[in-house]
Order: sequence, then C-alpha cells, then structure tokens
Amino acid sequence: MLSIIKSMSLKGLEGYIIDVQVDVSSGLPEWEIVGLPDASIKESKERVRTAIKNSGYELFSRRVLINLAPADIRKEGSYLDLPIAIGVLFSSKLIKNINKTLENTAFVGELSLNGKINKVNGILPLCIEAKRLGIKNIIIPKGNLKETTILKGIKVLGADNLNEVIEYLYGKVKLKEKRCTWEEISKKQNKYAIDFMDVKGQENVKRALEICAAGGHNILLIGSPGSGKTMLAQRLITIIPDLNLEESLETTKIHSIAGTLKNDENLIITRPFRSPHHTITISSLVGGGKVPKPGEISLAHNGVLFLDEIAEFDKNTLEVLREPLEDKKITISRLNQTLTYPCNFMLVASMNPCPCGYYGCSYKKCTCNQNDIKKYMNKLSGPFLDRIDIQIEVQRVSYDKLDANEGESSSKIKERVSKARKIQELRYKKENIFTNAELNPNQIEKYCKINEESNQLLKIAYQKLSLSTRAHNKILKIARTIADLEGVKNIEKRHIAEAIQYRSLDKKYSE
Amino acid sequence: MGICIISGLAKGIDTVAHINSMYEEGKTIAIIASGLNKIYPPENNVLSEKIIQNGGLILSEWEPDEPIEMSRFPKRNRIISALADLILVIEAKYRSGSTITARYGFKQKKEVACIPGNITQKNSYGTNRLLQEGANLVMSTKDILDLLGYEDNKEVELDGRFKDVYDNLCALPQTVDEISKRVNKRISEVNEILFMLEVDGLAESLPGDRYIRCMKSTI
Repeated sequence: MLSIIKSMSLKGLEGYIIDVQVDVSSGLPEWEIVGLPDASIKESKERVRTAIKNSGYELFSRRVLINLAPADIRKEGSYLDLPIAIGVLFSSKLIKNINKTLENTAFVGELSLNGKINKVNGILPLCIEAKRLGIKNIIIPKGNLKETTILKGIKVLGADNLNEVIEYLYGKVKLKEKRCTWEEISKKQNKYAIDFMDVKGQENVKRALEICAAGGHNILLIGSPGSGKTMLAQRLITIIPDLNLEESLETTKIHSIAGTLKNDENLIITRPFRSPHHTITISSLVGGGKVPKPGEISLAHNGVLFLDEIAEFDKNTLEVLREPLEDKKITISRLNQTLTYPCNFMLVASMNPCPCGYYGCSYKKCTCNQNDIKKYMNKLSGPFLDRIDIQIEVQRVSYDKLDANEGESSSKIKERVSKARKIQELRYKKENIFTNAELNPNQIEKYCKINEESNQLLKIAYQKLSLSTRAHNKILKIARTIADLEGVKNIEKRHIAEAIQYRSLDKKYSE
Repeated sequence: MGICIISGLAKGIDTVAHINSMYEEGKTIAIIASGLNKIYPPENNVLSEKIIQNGGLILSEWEPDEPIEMSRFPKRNRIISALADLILVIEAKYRSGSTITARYGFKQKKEVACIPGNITQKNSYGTNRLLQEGANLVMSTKDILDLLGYEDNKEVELDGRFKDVYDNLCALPQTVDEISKRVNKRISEVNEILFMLEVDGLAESLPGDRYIRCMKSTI
C-alpha cells in the first residue's frame, strides 16, 4: 500500500514541502530510499526500523520503497526519520482508521533507536516556511518547541516519542503546544553581562564606538597589545538598540540552521557578537560545505563581527568580505545548489600599529623601522579599508586611571544611539536604507550637504594632512552621524572637524 | 621668513631638510663633494633638479665630471659651515659627519646648536658632546629663531575654547583623553578643537592619537 506523508526541508532560508512517499509491497525484503538522499538519510532506515520495533510494532519482511519528492533536490540531515516512520507504519497497515486528516500536517524529527524524537537544526525557518506554504499543523521534536513559541497561524506541536505521535493521530492524546508573545520574550531580556561602565578611561574610543553604533559604521581599532581593543569591541553590542521582532526572527533562523541556538533560548534577543580566530578559512567565514551552511558573517547577522588581529588573517579570506559588506547578503554557489544568506553585520576589526606592536605607544619603544610599519599596514588592501569608515587609535590606560571613577553606562549611551537611529530611519524612509553607513555617493550628495565654511575646512584638511580622496565620503558620512547624535539638522563645521579625527589611518599612515 | 637651509644632499636628515625647506616655500642650498654631474646618492638626482627649479643652489668645489670619492665628503663640510649663520646638529653618532661640520663651525666662529638626547642613545653621543663643548641647546623652533636674532613677539591669538586646549598642549605627547580631562571638555569638542589647531599648524598629532604643541605659529 502507498502512503504519502508531508515533511519540510530548507534550501538556504527558503523552505519547500517534501512528500515522503512510502510503498510497502510483497517482494524481496529490502528497504530502498530514492530521491537524492545523502548518507544520513540513507542510514535513517536502520533508525526507523529499530525505533518502530522498540515502540511495540512488528514489521513484516516486505519490500519497502521510499521516495522523497521532489526527487531532483539533494536532501541532507536526519529530520526525515519521523515522516518515514509514520509512512512505513501506514503502508504496513500498522496504524489505520485514524481520526485526523494528514492533508495539512507535516512531520519533522530525528528518531532514536528507542523511539524518542531528537532535536534537529533549522526548526524555526522550517515552521515559518511551512506556514507560508499552507501547512496547518507541524509536528516537531519537543526539544525544539522553544524556538517556535512566537509563531502564529500555524499549530506547532511538540512530540517526545514515536508512540506519542501515533496516539495523537488516533486522537488519544493532545500534543504540547507552546505560545508566548514578543513582549514576554523581550522582557526576559537577560541583560548583557558586560557594560561600558567596566572600561576605565578610553573616552575617545568610546565616543568613536558610540558614533559607530549610531550610524552603523564599520570600525578599525589600532593599538598596542593590552590597550583594551578587545574589551572595547565586545561592548559595542551593548549600545546598539535592541533587536526588534523581525530582526530577532531573522537572526534566530540562521542560528537555528547552524545549530548554534542555546537550549534555554526562545528567540535570540541579544545582538550576536562573533569573533572568529584569525586562522578561519574562507568557507567557514562566509559559509560553505556541500550543502552550504551559514558562515560567521551570517551568524553575525544584525550583530557585530569582530576580527581581532585583522592583519594576521589570510589576505584572501579578508577580500571575500568585500561584497557581503556592500550587499548585506552572501550568495554561495556549490555544485548542487546556490544559496543566499543575509549578513547585515557591523564589522569591528582590531590590529597592532606595527609588527612589534608598540608604534605610537606612550610607555614602550617601537623597534620597527618605517618600512616594516608601512608593510604591516599594507596587509589591509585599499578596497577593504574603503569599507571601514572609522579608524581610531587605542592607547593603554595609565595605572592611576584604573581606579578612576566609573564611566557612562551602556544604557545611557544606548539612549543617545537610539535617538540618532530614529532620526536616520525617518530621513531615509524613502531610500530603503536605515543608517548613514549605507549611503551611496548619490545619497551622500543629497543628505550630507555642507556649507561653504565646512567645505573650506575640508579643502584645507586635504592639503595639510594629505588626506586620500576616498576619505572624503567617509568623513561626510561620519559627520552626518555626529550631527544626528547631536540632533542637529545640518552638518556644521565642528562636525566635519571631529569626523576627520576618526580617520587616523588617512592622517598618519597614508604617506 | 626667508631662512635658507644648507645641507649636503646626502640620505637622511639632509634630504629631509632640503625637501622641507622647499615645502615651506623657502630656498635651499646643497653642497656636494663630487662633480655637479655626479650626484651622490643617485636617487637624489630628482631632488637636485627640484632644488634648482625652486630657485635653490647646488654647489661643488670640483669640476663637473669629477667622480664620487668618499674621502672628500668630510672636507666638503667646511663649506657648509662657512656659508651658514647657524649650524644645527639634530643627531650625531660618535665620529659622525655632522660633528665634523660643527667643529668647522667652532673654528669659523659660527653659532653651533644641538638638540639634546638621552645619554644612552647612540645617536645622541655626538650632539651631547658638542653641547658639553659649548654648543647651544635647542628645544624648539623658537630657540633657533632666538639664536638667529629674530624677534618673536607675535602672540598666538585664539578665542577662548581654542586657547584653553592650546595652553594645555606641550612638547610631551598627550592623548585626547588626557587633554579632555585637563580642560574639562567633552571628547567630541576636544577632537574638533584639536583638528582645527592642527589645520592651523598649532598642534601636531602623533601616532597613537597623541598631540603635541607646535611652535610654528610663533614665526
């Protein structure tokens, strides 16, 4: 007998319905799975057979053929165990006369040998897509229930083991459903464990980071070892406005696919902070694999990607960041499929000013010659630096400042940042962008108008400090953000003057 | 101010001196120890052309095609010192060429001045020794102008908030944080003022986001 059970799968973030077609007929006893399954799906027949046996049903030796339609897409993962098991049970007539229609029901889950249903990755995007494709009920592993609590318009049911699912189909038990609202989740916001208050001194860098957060600018921190670059960078996420529901869903979707959700998390409500080690490969940075998985840049979606010691990264690895930094998404092409993941992140990079690390340091002498320093700085290509708006030097805090009174708290800074972001949102309503950092040259001309006095200043700065031409637009963008932070409508001379201060590479290392 | 800088067209401070004097729109004289057609080091060929174009002078006591001979370099220095009103030694090792120029200067009754350095530093040995022998100690451009007899009574005129920051700058590099604490102003404002001062040549930023006071303005 033939039975067709619905399940779901993902192509990147896009879902599609899989029809798990199971036919049990007389013939040589064997199990065959067709429809481009990968090794983990091929193995599922052993799990399914044993799980069914251990759930108290006896399978007879028959020929079992399983087709995963559409048959031309390669499938991967163990989440089809549950629908296969249900299909086999139906086709073997071990369950019949159920009082539920399976027309609009999908099954997703991995089986243990004892019939227990295990957690799988990617449940949140699966459920969202299932809803879009008209599925009314979806049965998922109980362990995944938490991430789907926010969804409306689809019944998400969590099952603990195979028997529970069968009993549900007979209408004997009700499966667990979990619901909560965005307000409840966001209220639970376990505040960041870190705060800008922990950083003593470093007012200049803090100001630069505030501007970064307000305008969505990328930043490069240059400083000697132990000056606090990492500590400062980590705290950037604490001053960016909180995630809204839409952003939170997007971020959680990606983490759900990658399997990096924590057990006690409903949705990700704190902005992600990813800091990959400098030995990272290209495919783990941007995403990859036979069936492409999201990389670090996508995991940092709506958050911060921190590249510590950026000069030590492989040059080719850094260059691949160029397009994603512009497009805010990454398209990965592999033999089998081409996927697109979003990656709207803020880049924070840090590096030493020279090979020995102490160029420009106030307490230790640099042992490098000018050539070494130049060579070291050249490790970052021009086009890459073009995508970093703010460059600032970090100086170690002297000992007597360490016990100085505490600085501003993150929440205070966040208030100012939120205000500035609102101004930008309003201004760019028609442009389909949100922050100053995203302005293109045409938009810069439109929104960053400066008066004659400021223009004169920029001109002088060019001549005196031999600024590079590429710095021009960056300075205007930063000045725009500074003006927004102040709540001023037009960019004034003082904003330009301050903005130029955040281009230290242009000022000091350009010759 | 019309002060002409004389040097030897060699690598290092010589080159820097020639280039900067032209940059400041002054004229400069280079005295070489070989024929005018044999510039040493060869990479300064372009520089020598620039000096002429700029209305400067390349001077040699030898015939145009006289080859480059190392032994003649020290002797050439007597002309440098003879033409100058003031001999300024920036850095000098033990037995350095600049010390020789300074010695000629002493003999020729010229003013000799040195920038002092740490006594443990190799490159300060010569200058410190010259100071001991009676050279003038120079710490800023103002000192040089004093030695040359220029009057310096132009005070920098700055308005309140600029003056505040400027007065707190000194020859010792300070970070923006330190300056802002000293003048009790917000970082954003200090950054803005420092930049304006820098544009006006009153402050200079060093690597590491540190600032020093610039004496240029007193000229």
